[in-house]
Amino acid sequence: MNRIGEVVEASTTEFIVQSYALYEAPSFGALVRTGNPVEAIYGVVFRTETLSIDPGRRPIARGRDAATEADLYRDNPQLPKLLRTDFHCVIVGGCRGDQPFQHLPPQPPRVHGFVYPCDAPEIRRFTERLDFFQIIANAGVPAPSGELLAAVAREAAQARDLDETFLLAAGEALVPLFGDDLQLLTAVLRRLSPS
Amino acid sequence: MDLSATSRQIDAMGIPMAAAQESNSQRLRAALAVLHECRRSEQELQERVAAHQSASRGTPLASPLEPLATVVAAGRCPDELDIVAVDGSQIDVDRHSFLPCYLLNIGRVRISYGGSPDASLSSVPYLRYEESDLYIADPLDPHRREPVAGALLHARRNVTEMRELAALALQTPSNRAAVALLDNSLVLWGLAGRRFDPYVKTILLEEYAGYLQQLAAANRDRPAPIAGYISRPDGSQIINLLRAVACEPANCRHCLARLSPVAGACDYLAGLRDRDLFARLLRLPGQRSALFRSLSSVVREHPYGTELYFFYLQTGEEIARVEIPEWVALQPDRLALVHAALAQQIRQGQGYPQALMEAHEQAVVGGADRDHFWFLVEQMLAERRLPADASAKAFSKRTRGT
Repeated sequence: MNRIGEVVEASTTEFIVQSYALYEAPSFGALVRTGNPVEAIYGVVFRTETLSIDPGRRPIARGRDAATEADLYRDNPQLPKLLRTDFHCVIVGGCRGDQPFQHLPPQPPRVHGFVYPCDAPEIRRFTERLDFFQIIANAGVPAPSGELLAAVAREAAQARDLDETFLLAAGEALVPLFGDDLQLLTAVLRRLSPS
Repeated sequence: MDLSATSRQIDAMGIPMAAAQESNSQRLRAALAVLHECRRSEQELQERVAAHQSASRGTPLASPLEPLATVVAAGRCPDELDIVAVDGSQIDVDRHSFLPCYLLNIGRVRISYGGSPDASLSSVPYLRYEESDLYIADPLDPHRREPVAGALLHARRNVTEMRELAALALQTPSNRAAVALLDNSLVLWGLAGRRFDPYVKTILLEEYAGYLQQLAAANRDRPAPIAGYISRPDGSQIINLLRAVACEPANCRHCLARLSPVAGACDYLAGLRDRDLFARLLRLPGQRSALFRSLSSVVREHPYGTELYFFYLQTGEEIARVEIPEWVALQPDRLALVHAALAQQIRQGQGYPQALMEAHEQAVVGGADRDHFWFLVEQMLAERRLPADASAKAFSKRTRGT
């Protein structure tokens, strides 16, 4: 598949990707792949932001007199060159050879590593086991973990045409992660419903 | 710093400032009246100004090409238009450092408006360390030379900016209109006066004029005018013109001789600035004043290759001065294009031309970049085992102990 961006920061537990195209980041909860020379590394998108390339310059509203947003961009051709879209991923495992694993890799991804969206077969193979839900729940990422886990499960289910058996298995895997917070668990499970 | 003592002095400063403000207001109203009531034709005014100029001792004056009270609204920009702009900054020769060199950082911007909007924003560094770059030598006597530093480095940078601007403009598609903008006067003021020997000025100005000529040539085939944009201009050329209008007799040496102790009939106009006058005349953003020809001696005494013309422009935030060469000023469609393009750029930039802002952002070299630059230089010297003797002064600046 075509690469969508490059790693601009990486650590043992997370990596940040600058998207090649503005506003074209993978969905919240989607699985992406990058790596280092030893192995492929999988991450789940938990935060996407579009911001000014120069941290000292904040975007200012320009469109008071523009009829549409498209007009605003057309009248300011320099804007796309001054903004960037970044997405942050929590590392959930990897693949050595053709053997997927669901624990933190020994080494983080490399900066400037290419990042690829995962296609459906790849997602199906990685999500045959759902141990990585635990990694996400414990990672302490600054996103509501219920929302993120629900999104991850749904993204994975999409690769299986929303197969109910999988959704059921995903629900079961989520239960132990919410302790006795039944309200939150119920809300998350509701998000898994195929309708 | 003792801030409470300073604060008391700042408060005290406000008192005469308030008084001056009121007096200024009255005098500006009077100046505006002179401007509106002037019934002389442009030709009469031009003759009068020419006469004053020969009598005056270098008072800056301008000659009007349109009625003094002219106010022109900006026209429409063509849909397909390229704006190119350049700005520069520098890391100066550091006399206390170990290696004579300087860095010019030129920001280059092209914004293309129309059916396929696009932009290109970049900066280009020029590191100069050869003898021929560090000094300007007299071609007739190579032992006479001027170090390129300080004001001369600034002028050198301006010439490089013009080179880059001309190159950018020439690269735009020749089936579209283009406007080239400079964040500066078209005059190299740093070279004015007696500070530098004539050979220095000639060498730089001939190069500069050459680039202006490239733009003039491009402009013959399709619209490609250039304009210099000056924010918060300080001049009083039009005020001085009004003094020449208001003053009777026609040959008032007293008002034009700046050091004369005797008050003239037009003294009430002394000390006013053009920008304050035009702030009252030009009420809407995008309006420009009449077109004037600058009679400043700097342009006539040196080989710029063109006369200099200018007008004032209301940006909504301030009055700016726009300078254009003769081959733009005397072609109504090119003049209108510069006016329309600047008005559009100021709208996009919410008070300042957008392309010039972007060029400035590309050019600027921050403190951290500066430090990093010297660090890289040190590193290079270390790798090649070259001596890196810093002066004692530089050392003491870096290690501020007690």
